[in-house]
Amino acid sequence: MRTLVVFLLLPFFALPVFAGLNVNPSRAEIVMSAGQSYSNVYTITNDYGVPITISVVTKDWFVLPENKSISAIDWLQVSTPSFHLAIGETKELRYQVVIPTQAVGSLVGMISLSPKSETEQGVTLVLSVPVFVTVAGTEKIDWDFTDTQFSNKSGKLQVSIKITNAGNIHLRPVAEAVLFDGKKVVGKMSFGESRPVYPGSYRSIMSTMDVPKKGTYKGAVKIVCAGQEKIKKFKLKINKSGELKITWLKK
Amino acid sequence: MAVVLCLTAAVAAEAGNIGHTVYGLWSETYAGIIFGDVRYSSTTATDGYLGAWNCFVSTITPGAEGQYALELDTYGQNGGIFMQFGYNGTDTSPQVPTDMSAYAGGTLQFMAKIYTECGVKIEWTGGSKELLMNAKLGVAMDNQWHQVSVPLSWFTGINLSAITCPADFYSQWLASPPLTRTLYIDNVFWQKANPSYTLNATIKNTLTHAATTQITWSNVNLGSTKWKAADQYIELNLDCYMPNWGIQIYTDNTNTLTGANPLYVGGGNPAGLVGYSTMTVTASSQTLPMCWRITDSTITVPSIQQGAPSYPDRLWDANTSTTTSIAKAYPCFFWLKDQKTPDNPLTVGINEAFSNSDDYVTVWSSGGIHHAEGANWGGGCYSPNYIYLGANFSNGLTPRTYKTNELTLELFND
Repeated sequence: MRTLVVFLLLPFFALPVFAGLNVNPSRAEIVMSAGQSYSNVYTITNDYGVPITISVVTKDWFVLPENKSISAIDWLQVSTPSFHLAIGETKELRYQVVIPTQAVGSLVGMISLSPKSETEQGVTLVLSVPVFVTVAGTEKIDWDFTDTQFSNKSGKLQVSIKITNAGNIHLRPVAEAVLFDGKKVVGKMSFGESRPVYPGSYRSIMSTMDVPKKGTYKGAVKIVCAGQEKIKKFKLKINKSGELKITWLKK
Repeated sequence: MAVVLCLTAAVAAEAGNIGHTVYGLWSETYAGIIFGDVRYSSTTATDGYLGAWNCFVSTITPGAEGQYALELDTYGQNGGIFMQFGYNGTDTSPQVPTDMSAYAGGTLQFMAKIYTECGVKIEWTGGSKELLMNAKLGVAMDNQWHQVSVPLSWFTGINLSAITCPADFYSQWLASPPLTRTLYIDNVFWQKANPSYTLNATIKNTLTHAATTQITWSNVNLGSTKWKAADQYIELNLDCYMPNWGIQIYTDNTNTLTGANPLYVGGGNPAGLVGYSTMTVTASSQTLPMCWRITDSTITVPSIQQGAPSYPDRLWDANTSTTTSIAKAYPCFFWLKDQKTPDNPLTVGINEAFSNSDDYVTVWSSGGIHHAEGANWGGGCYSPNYIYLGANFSNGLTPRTYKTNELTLELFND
């Protein structure tokens, strides 16, 4: 016998919902010594068409194993757990960072804003803005890029670079790949600002350009992280079918 | 000298950008977020025009930003070169004024490489204003790329409610040699004074696409029905101007602060739908797993399958391809995690524990939509995109109600 019809309720907003929030700045990056404190504000404007009440919490975003006894609710505080914004109204949300004396490397927390309108309720949509702290004097910088892949995706030369972070601070790699035919630059790929590579993890970044015509090219991949620059050179051979053969050069 | 129209190319200036935080004219960096990809062949008025006078306009690679930049070259006559977004000079209909009032207080931004004096101009109904790049904006004439940000208020008299050409570029008019002029530009866009972040989520019926209020599953037998797609999907619209944004999806079924109901109190994985007895509406320790998939267009009701050779946990859609093997190789569904999803000690070398901004829980980011497991990002960067949900009822008990009020979509910047 067929049993019951399940009814599952995920009570979302019924209508287009939401988060027309204007938050400035979009990120806070702080470098301070353990034991020091810092205070600043995020400015938040209600750009929806309805009044809203915003719940505010702080939470851990990334926790370094060495800092596992430290929680964001301990080092990152906000001035209020909730506040109301009329249509178009702007308020400042003050936050304070107090670096515990035992902290090392990175502390990464989020200030999460969850707006609710007065007339609707339902799904949890959250906007989170980060507070990154580097504990000055405790940084360990140790990174590399490996497993760089070249592929021909429908006529596009796609380069994927895996950046591994074995240090204790988050990295924001800036990468560039250049392709030369003799001394002439035939292609340059900028990878833009990537999302952070957290300690103990890796992130693959990717960029594309048109596949050059058949030939043998030299090239280099350059990455800058935490003030350190690393360059790896390669030779790229492209046959008439567009197949790629990559050889990494020692120097 | 006659003004010669020598080329009409295309430009991505979508009318749909109006009201967003960025209005793109020629850019690849933000193409995936707000406005269209660079388009080279379109000539529709919707996409806007690129008009060029006394010069050739071509795309060059590499660009200063992304893969392509625009190069404007005179073809040997005295005088200047001129290129404009929004009007090609041959359209029989008049230039249509566009209301850009939402950009009051904002900026026109672009990158330029010049070696003679050049200018930038904005036109509106009944007026225009030119600004010289070197003399007024301080752009060095060193044939190197420079980033330029011009407050719109510097275009004196600008009527934002009736913009006809949101950006023109030209070299200064000279009647004598040198005959050649070249001007390079890239990454041209308008930006609002205070970009905001807007994420809209709308539940729609999979078959009718009508908006509705909740997500449900019908014709389910608890204890026997396996994976089944929900009867609705979520349409996501995003307006975001941040370099490192992402949207992650999860449940938070143990969160007492946000009022999780039913509250998961077990010691396992809280992810998915939490079951409770209809006789005693209390905290529960039983869940049904859920999964999600994101697409850049609506699809027919997914037929969710689990398992492929060597990948017993892989989730795929039998509708993805008529060839089953191909479908299995495309793991487009992801297991939905909870904020408190722990690592599974049985899977050595794999950490299933929830981790913020982890690719596995990120549905959409500045890299595109996460259309399949692994580093499968891209495409579908335009809004809207669509999230399809599924659940596995094979371990369901009767009589029970399964639900969650803690399905969360979190837009983050990191």
